[in-house]
Amino acid sequence: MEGKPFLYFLENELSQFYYVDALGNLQVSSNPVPLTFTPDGWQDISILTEKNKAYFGYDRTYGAPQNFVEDGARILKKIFYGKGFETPVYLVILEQQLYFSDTEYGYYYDLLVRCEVDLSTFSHNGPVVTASILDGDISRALKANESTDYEFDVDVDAAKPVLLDGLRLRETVQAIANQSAGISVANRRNIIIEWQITTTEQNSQLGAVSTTGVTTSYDDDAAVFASKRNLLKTTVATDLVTNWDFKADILMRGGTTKLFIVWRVFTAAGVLVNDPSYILDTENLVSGVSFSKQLTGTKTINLPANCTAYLCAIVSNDINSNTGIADVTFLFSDTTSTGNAGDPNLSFGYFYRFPATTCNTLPAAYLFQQLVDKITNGNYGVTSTLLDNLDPYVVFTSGDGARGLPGAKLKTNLKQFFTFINMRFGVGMGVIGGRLVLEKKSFWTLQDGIQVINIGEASQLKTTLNTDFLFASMKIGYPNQTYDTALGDINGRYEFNMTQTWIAPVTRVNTVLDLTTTYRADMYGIEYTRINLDGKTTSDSSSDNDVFAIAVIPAGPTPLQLDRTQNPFIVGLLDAETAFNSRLSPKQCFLANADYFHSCLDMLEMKSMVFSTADKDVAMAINLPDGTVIEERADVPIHTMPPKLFRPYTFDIVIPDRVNIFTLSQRKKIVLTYSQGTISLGGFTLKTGSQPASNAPQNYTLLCSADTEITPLIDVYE
Amino acid sequence: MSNTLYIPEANPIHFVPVNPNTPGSYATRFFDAYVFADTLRDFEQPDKFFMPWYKNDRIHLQFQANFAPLQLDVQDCDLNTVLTVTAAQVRANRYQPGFYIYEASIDVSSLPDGAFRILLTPGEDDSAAQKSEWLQLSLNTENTIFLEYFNSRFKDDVVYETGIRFGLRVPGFLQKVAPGSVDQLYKDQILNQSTLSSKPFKNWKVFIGDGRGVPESLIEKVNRAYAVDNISHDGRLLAKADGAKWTEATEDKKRLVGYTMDLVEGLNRPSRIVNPDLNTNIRLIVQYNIEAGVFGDTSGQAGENTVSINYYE
Repeated sequence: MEGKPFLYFLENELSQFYYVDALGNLQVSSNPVPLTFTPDGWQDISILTEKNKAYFGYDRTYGAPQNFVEDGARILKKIFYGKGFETPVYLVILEQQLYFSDTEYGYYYDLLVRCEVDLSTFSHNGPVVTASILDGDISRALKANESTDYEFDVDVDAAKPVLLDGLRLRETVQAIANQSAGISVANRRNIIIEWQITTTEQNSQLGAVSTTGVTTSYDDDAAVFASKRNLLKTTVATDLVTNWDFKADILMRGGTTKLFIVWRVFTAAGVLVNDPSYILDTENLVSGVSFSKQLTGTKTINLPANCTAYLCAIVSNDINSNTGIADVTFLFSDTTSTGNAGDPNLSFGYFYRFPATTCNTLPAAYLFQQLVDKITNGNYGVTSTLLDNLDPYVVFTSGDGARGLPGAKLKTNLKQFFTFINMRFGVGMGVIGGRLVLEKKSFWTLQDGIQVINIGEASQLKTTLNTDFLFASMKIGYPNQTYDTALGDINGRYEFNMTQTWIAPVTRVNTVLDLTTTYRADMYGIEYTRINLDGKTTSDSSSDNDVFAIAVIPAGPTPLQLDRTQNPFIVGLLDAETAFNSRLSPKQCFLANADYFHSCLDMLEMKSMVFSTADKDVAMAINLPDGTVIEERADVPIHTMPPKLFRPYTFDIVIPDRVNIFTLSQRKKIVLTYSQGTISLGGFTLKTGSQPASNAPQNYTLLCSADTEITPLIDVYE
Repeated sequence: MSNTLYIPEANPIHFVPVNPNTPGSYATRFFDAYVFADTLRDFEQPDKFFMPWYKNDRIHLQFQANFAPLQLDVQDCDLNTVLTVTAAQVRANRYQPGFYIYEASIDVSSLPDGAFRILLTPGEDDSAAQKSEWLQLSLNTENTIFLEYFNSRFKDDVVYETGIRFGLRVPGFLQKVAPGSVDQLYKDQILNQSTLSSKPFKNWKVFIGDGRGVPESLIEKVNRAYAVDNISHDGRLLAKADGAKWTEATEDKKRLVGYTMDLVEGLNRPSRIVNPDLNTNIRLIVQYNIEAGVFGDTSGQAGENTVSINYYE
């Protein structure tokens, strides 16, 4: 009735079960067919489980019987001699369990071990076939392929198109008046002053340009537009901040009139945008009187999108008509108010925004499943409520994807993916029920006082400080970028998604906790990739294969919009309104891991994690409406961090192995008593061995739970 | 499937077929097919065995079967039925429809002193009836040990999860033997020795059979009782000592054999705990909370499927 405690199967890579029929032929079946003859040494099954330091989940190592007899031997012989040693064969072991409820009961089997038979070690000795067993669990595939890069098409049905509507770049221009001799202007209203641009922080293609030719006068506005000697061309509506400091020497030869220094702005069709605010300076000119004055000022005006702007001097009583025009000679010199010649005496700054494009991106949950499919040949599923409900919702694309190139691919591996997700969300990854599970670290250290595994009294307790969890400094963030000329360097020093270094108040170790990711989230990098390679389908770029993470709004219109929900509350950026990926900032990544840091920094609550340095000096801060202030470079007192997940102590104990506790839960806290029940301890499994067939006492290493009071251990002498 | 009855060996009553139907070509009379008296060989001394049974001891039994009823008749030495109990269905098998766990709790306190046996009649088929060894019912517990035992999870065809706790009274006694301890000692520089820690424990030896011995069927029951993880001896938790094995004490031509085995305390407490409102001589029962999502099927693809496998034992 109860049956065997374990059932053994041999199956192929399609999970079909091998068996030998009545005629001795090898057959496969989709229905489970257990081996009639249990492999010799069945009672030696052992499972060693250890917490993976990188993934915060668990690795398993199996010791399983290797001596196959009768039907097991015949199956392996048929495969080895008939199909070759590369044929995949898996040994599956199920352990008997009992279903039990108020009204029903029933015996069933659940998966204990699935491991691969290594036919390269096949040894046939009379009735016995021996072959080594490889860990066939997903964890073996992980170990083997976690760093193997795979390519994923970005243009797939599951892709999420994202509207990259650009970041307003603050472009600035410095110029000098390039006029060495006076120019006589006879009764003409408009004079385009020639400016020689000396330095720019702007995109090389668009924005400000040097006027060409020499300072020249024009009869009217239409002639100015027709000259095409605009100093600036806008793509988006922008404020334009103009600083000027030049000397005007004007010889009046007759009449009385006015001098206007003004931006003459035209639409793309050449229609004058006549806005009085565009006048920068006004001076009265008197007949026969030489005018010599240092013209200095600063003014902000608003320019419409897609316009051209000409910086002009207008001599007229009316800026829009030829009334009171005069015969004058102009000399605009580069002498500044400080008397320096040759210094720039005109500067202006404006926003530039590249037109919106749409790029395809891959959602995190999709990319996770795809990576695991590649690693395991599609044999394992994934589970992640975190990725299914990601907040902020992060999608991924490549440099080629951001450029909108058809056929773009994203190249990454599972380790890189995990590193990013861990940095931003503080996660652990492990195998539960044959599926790879990715959840926050708090999932793996269930802080529940009821859902616990009570193992009663333990013995042979040994307590140690687990230095694996200590760190003296911590690095978090994204690869530092140097936006060279090829990329365009405007505003790049305001990029906040770079690497930050923090100092922990721990001096006993010199370990650096490295949480940095190879993925990029720098908004300027994304923007430069879009702009610089616009329309260039064959150009190569160092960023083509970079993986970019982008925070978007998951719900709403298609294409998805960039997540700018924090933008109204951001200070410290050049243009907070159009910034994006602020929710992926290193400090917010820091805060996502703060419960882990707090756990590692036990009894250091009076101290702080101290900001040390970052690649770029961006003092971004976000003052959220709920009063939360996220300041990128502000130290974090440890007592303000979220509650601990664990404490950095390990308990080595011996307990009876009545059941394989680890199959019950990888997440739940194990509680135990010690010293005849006088001390209560709790912990999460760090390392455990199990021999299900014998229930032999096992050594367990537990990571101290957050709620465990350790001072009673002072009085332990046994 | 035809009517099938499972009688777990862990039950405290030894049942054998009323009609063994042993083919004439087979001469061996196995102890699990015949009552003790019927297994004696010609050259052995004639003997009888009665299981001692205290009248206030309830007889707890568990079976699994795909038919009903399971009737238990207590018969006196004239084979008159003096008490009838029908085993109750306590759980249905969700994977093998028609199979049930049956349990019976027989209260013999109202019966007079004397010899009785239990007749188990499965369904309406008398040919499959089972009978027990003879029980000697009395209020005398001298030179007996009452073993109460259960496992923390299902074992050997018994679903202990129903809450069943078996009781088995055997002739025998417990004897205290020299105590032991696990010590950690320390010598200082001039070899003054002190004890850093010492865990003392009591040692016991159990004698099964009293002066006469017991038949094979009973020591098999006792051995089964020691296979579970909770066993008490007249209310005291004792467990097998490391490496303990049964030692036989036999006499020539006698089938009844005495047995001894070393035991240690199952609850090695530094104090006697006195609380008139509680039974302080029991162990904490371990509770395991099982998460449904941890299980996978054989393909490793899905989480909670049940794998149906037919097997035969």
